[in-house]
Amino acid sequence: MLAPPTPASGLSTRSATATPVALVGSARSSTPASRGQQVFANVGCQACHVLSLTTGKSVMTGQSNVTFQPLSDFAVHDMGTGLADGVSQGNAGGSEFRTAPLWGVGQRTYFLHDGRTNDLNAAIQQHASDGSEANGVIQNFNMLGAADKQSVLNYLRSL
Amino acid sequence: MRRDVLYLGAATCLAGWLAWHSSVVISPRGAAMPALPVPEDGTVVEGAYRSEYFGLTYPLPRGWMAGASGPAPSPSADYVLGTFVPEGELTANILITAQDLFFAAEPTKDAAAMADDFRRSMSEIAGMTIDREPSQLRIAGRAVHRVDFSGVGLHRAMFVFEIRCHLLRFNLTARDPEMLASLARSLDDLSFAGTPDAASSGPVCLKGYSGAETLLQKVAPLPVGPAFTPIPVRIIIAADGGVKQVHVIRATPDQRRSIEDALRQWKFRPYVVDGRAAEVETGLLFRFTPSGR
Repeated sequence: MLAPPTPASGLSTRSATATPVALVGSARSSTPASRGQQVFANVGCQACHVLSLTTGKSVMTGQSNVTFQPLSDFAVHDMGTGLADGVSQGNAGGSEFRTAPLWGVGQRTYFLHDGRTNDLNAAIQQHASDGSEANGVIQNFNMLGAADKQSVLNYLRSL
Repeated sequence: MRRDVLYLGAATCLAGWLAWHSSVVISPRGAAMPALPVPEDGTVVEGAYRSEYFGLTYPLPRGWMAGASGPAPSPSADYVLGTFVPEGELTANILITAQDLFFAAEPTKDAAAMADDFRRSMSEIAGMTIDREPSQLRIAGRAVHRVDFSGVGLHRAMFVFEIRCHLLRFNLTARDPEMLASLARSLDDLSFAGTPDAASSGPVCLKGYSGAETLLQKVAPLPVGPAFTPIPVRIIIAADGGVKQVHVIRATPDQRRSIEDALRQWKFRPYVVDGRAAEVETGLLFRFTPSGR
């Protein structure tokens, strides 16, 4: 849940297309969406935690045009002062992180880059702070009713 | 005396080597420039968001305040200008952003095209309903494109203006449609400096006014900092062809200094409108590469 609810053209990203296999993002799933998945997409989480990517052409056997669900755009985003660790890696500053894939997040015990919490809701809230691209999305999440918030947590735990 | 000659000779050799190596003029650092408004300068003053760059004043709804600040401009020059929330319970929010049309990651033609693109991407999300198809209306004497959509109990509207070759967006989100309508009405209090529907309250903005036909003198910035990273830069060219303002939108401090020092020395053919030289604003994209590659 990283970026404000702006069109795809408005995202602050560094493209992942330099990898050997080109990726194409999509908000669509091949299966009917659960309520939690719908809420996840509607509030804007899916702007960065992109549900579905499709590989481009590859010389490697069986790797062309494969659709998979990493729940990440594999791009670097500014996450603000709250998550900043001051560590610069390559061109990424101390508050910039590559979107963590959420596949398997339901099986994890600790969340965020430094494992600072074992509470999924706290992890969501930590996405918002001064300078973060996710502030608008977290505000949207916080406007939801309790049932819809719970549906997002249930969805994440199902991954 | 002998030492001075040696220093002079070494400096001459170095300058000659640099000039040969970069095929450009190497000249002394340019004079300091007055600070002019830039998009990220906007502030809340006396209950209103004001942006001198966009010539914009937006009186916030009563009881609203600035929320957390946004990130620095992106490499594609997308700005989060402000977020605003009501005091007390979070029932709605306002997000003001701007996309520089010179550097958009996915080239967008104009405000109408952005509203259409946004409508299309929202309609592809399961559970999202388009409540109002993209349409043009007028606010404060300016054309604006609006699209409304809703899903999972959130009602949203996006308004897109085109100013100084930027797409200025107001993203409104509310828990209920009445609150959204109230926020939309608050935009009626917007005011803009300058002539209604003028593309700019400042200089004329032109994409690509830095090509071989217009550029008379160029000084290459010294390559510093991370290589290959795109560095978007806006400049204002004065009526005499000199560079009046350099706005390095996103770069490291070293890169910023290097580019500012170089661009201050660039000279352009003056932009002429109706027989008179005029200021013009344009964009440049730098990308340093390691020497020898």
